[in-house]
Amino acid sequence: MQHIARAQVVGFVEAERIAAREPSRPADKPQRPETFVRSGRLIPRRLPPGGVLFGPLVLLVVWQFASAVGWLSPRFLAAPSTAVVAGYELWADGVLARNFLASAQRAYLGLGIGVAIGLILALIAGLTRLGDASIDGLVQIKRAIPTLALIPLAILWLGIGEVMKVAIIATSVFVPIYINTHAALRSIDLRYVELARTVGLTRSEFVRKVALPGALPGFFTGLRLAVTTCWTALVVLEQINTTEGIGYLMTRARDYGQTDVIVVGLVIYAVLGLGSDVVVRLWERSVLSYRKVLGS
Amino acid sequence: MTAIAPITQFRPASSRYSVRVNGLTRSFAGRTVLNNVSLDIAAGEFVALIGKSGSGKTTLLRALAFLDDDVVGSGTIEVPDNRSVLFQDSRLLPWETVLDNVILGLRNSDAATRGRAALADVGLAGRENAWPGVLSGGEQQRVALARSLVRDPALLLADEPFGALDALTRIKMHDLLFRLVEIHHPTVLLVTHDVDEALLLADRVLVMDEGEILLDQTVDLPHPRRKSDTRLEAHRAALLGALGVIERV
Repeated sequence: MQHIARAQVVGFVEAERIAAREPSRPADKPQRPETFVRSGRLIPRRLPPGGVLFGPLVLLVVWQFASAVGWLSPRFLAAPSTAVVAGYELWADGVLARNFLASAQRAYLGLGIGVAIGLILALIAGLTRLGDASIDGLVQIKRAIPTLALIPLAILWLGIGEVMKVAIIATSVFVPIYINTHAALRSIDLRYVELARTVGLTRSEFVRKVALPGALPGFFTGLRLAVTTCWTALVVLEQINTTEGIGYLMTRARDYGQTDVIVVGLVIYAVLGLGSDVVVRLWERSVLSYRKVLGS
Repeated sequence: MTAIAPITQFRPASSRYSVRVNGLTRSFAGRTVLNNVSLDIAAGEFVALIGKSGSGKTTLLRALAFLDDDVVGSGTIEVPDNRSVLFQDSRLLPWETVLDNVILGLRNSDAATRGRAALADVGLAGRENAWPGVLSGGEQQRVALARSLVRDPALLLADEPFGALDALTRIKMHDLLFRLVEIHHPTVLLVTHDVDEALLLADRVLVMDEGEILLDQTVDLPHPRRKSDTRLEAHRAALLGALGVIERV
């Protein structure tokens, strides 16, 4: 009995320790404290900060171990430690910085243009009938065509230079921005529309005070997808006629069989993708700060 | 014979009536929701409208608020231009602060000052910059009340404004609404399904059923009223009778 009372106070983990330390008398058996507490836990507890890193770290350890004992040939995949050394050497040469900047410039220029186009189209289609009739169907058709399938045409029209690459990135980025912003604009709560009418908002006041703030969460969902999309498109594009960029480094490394450089490139893409996502989420959290109180 | 609502809207100049409804008919999907309803409400009168679900009381209120376009119907409505609606949900914009919600749509240069005063009136001074999401349900509805009254409406249309609140909060809201109505003195149409709420607050109680006003009962008793006041018993019995409820003690 004493067990149970304490278990409730100190929680599950502590209760197990107590139970282990103090062997329970037979009379206590049917109501063992952990059974009592555990019955309330139908969903797993939340991870501590950084808890999601557990899986990646295990992979890293297993990978390093497999390389060290010779199960993984460096011809197939370099060890993480080798890749770190290769990355440092590339950085020290200045090669990495130059190629990284070239890639980032392409990706973010395309992202910026794509976001602007997607946002403008979504506003026109979401807020006007004529816009909806003229734009939405076209974008839905565009959505069905993989952007990378447009590369052959884009090369014929724009050549194989930077313009074509930025244009393709922008084309692939504007779709998620448009789809999510437009959907959010179209699903504005009708109760707010009624409210706007009863307090006599003008159309422009309605757009500024109700429609746009209401669509902002949708825009951010689109932006998070777009940030990932721009890097995905970049990987493919940098295999075409480039002399600079992370993709170029990796293509050349493939020709020379340098798996360590390939790993460095992969890590950079991963870090950029995750980093961009974190930046967008922080921005989203500060802009949509009113939501903190709703979710918690 | 139904037609698309040929509705006129104008302020009856120097009339003693704030609301005049004549022969109002509304139907949805072939079902008549309002059947030839006529109703006059004197300026400054507090009228409660009760009825079962589907009796047409909310439809009548929405017609007076001009929130029912796209419906089929006929009849004429005269209401003041300067009217406010208090909904069952507080309907605050979650992305605007409490103060900005109160003064939404106000274009006067002193809007912020008036908004602060309105918030103080509902006991929420100091919460101007809070997000609506941090307020309790009762506090949110008080903000909505401030938003309605900061406009000094000639007509306040309230659609079950306390229906979603707990019993204790509702009692406080009754007091608050009555006090504020005495100060601002709008004409009030309060839709409710709560007979006691109607009897505590209103000068006149209408009972609706099947789209018609069955009973129009004047409650001529001084304020503040108490639920236990025996003089309310006769009124309560009449209203419940009209609603088809037999009270067994």
